Amino acid sequence: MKKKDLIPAFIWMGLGIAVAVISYELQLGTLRNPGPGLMPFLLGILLSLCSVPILIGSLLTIRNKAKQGDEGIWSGVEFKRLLLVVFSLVSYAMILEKVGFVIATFFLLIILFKVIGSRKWLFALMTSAIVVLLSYLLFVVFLKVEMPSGLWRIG
Amino acid sequence: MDIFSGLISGFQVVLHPINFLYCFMGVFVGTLIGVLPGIGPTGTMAILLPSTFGVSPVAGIIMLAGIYYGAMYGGSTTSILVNIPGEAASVITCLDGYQMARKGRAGPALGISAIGSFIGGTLSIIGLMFFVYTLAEVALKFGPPEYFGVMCLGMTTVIYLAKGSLIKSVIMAVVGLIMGCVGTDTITGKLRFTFGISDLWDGVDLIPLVMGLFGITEVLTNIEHTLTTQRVIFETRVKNLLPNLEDWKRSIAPIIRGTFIGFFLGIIPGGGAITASFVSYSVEKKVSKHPEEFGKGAIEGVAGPETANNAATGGAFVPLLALGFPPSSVMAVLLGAFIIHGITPGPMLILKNPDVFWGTIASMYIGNGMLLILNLPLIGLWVQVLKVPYSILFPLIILFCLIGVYSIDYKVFDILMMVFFGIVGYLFTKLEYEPAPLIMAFILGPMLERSFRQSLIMSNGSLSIFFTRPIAGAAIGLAIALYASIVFGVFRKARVKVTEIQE
Repeated sequence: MKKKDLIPAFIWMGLGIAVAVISYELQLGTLRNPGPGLMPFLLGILLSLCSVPILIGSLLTIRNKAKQGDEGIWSGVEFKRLLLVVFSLVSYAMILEKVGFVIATFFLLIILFKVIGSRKWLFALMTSAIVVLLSYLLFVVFLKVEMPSGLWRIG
Repeated sequence: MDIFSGLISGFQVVLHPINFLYCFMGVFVGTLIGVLPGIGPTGTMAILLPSTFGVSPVAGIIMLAGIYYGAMYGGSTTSILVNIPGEAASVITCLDGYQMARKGRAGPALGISAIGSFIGGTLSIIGLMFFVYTLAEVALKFGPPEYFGVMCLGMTTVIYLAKGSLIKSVIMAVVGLIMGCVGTDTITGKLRFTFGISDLWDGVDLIPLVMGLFGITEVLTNIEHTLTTQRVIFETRVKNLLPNLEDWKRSIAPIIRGTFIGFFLGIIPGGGAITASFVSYSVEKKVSKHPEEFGKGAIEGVAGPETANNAATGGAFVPLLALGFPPSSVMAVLLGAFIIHGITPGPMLILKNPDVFWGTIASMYIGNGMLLILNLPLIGLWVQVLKVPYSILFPLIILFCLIGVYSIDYKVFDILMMVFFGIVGYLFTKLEYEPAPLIMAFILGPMLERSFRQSLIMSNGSLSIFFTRPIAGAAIGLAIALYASIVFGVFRKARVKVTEIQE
């Protein structure tokens, strides 16, 4: 186990205990007549038990190699890019039914092509427009997927 | 119905124009996403699952199955020409396939992988028919304790064979089982873990989960750094696809061995196409008279693994069709597709839905034939596809995920779930947790729990029912033995470590 495993181990332990507590309140029933809480209760306990070896393992590693840095799983990761994608997707979900498929998708694609894909403005605008048109024809017209039409009743 | 007449009826189903078209679409999309790195068959099947709602179950299943085995064909193309695996099961093909391309032998490398894939693919379907037929007959006598035992054993081998840390795989499986508990309890009707969110009453939906873990996660992992431009394709004009006599002589034995290795590893839960390709490669290297050539462009290193990963797709259908047990996350999605279309795979499938059963099997023969054509004469098309840069590809992947997930139920909630699981999956990748045990446990969870509780009701609360019935007892005994060997192994490793530290 490595240093990076410490925090997840705590999360698993907490999650396991939480699941066990909630399941206990759901009624465990008896072996003769098992209730809805029995299975998740056992699983919750199992989950917190499983976190123990990881916890010990990563604590040992940290103690032994205290001077060494982290394994560097996050080194070079550009969090801004990841956050921007997640933010755009959540915003897309929020506005989709209000402004409609065509408009929401067009703006999402521009952000993805331009900012994340580092494409030129003209290229991003053109490609986004083409992709929106084609996907509209393929999914909404041809496959009859009912994407929200939103404003102006297009898409 | 005996196998022969069953197969004939299956071919009649596939040759129906609509089904034929869906089979073609499946293998075409399969090859496409196989060629393209950054999206695999599991995510694609989840994306396209909602688009099969409008057609008959058999057409939908035929198409989704086609995506799976089609991806195995496409994956090798990218491995050979770009040295990047187009699909996880083609990782090992990079070693010798790319070296062959560098020596100007890309043609024969592509040729032998298509031919090997075809042989492995079709032979494994024959094995699949006979195995499903016999296994389903046995499984007809299974009661809840037997199902519980077999599912436990299956989950155990999945955990046992998962790569990386074993305890992490166990955690993933437990988390999957817990997630499977969310929603309305099937026996008492009580709500569990819904936290007042009505969208969770039916439980966590499989499709947003899979699209998040396999679609969005993949995109996030690929864009965490600024994208580099164009990938280098080694040879844009592929010539001499047909291997020469010498190539044939060297490849025929690896192809036959690869078929067997692939088929049987495909059956084992957690084995699957990736493991099969690795095992085949190491076997070929061991039995070879000139192992020093491996890694420098030995055609055996392409022929064996590429055959094995296709044969594994045939094997993977055995537990799914005979027992309703998915041996891998891809098959878990396919199981989801069966259930959504109102069909329960398992021993009753042959009797209740013979058209689906035989249609799917027959479609695999036809599909493999189509794939041979797509991947030999039309290989140039896929080389062009490889030129599409990732900066254009990933917005499309995201868009398909969004449309796919929204079209299940027209709920914004599903989009948010998908994004959430995408982030979770990204963290899993970073922290080295494998998503496969989670997905399989998630889909098996409700079945596992139902059989567990039904068994206890049957036995009046005595746990001995899981040990006294022979099949259930044998399965659970084997599972316990596997766990014991894991624990023993861990202790031994820990002891070695402790002594190392003390010294």
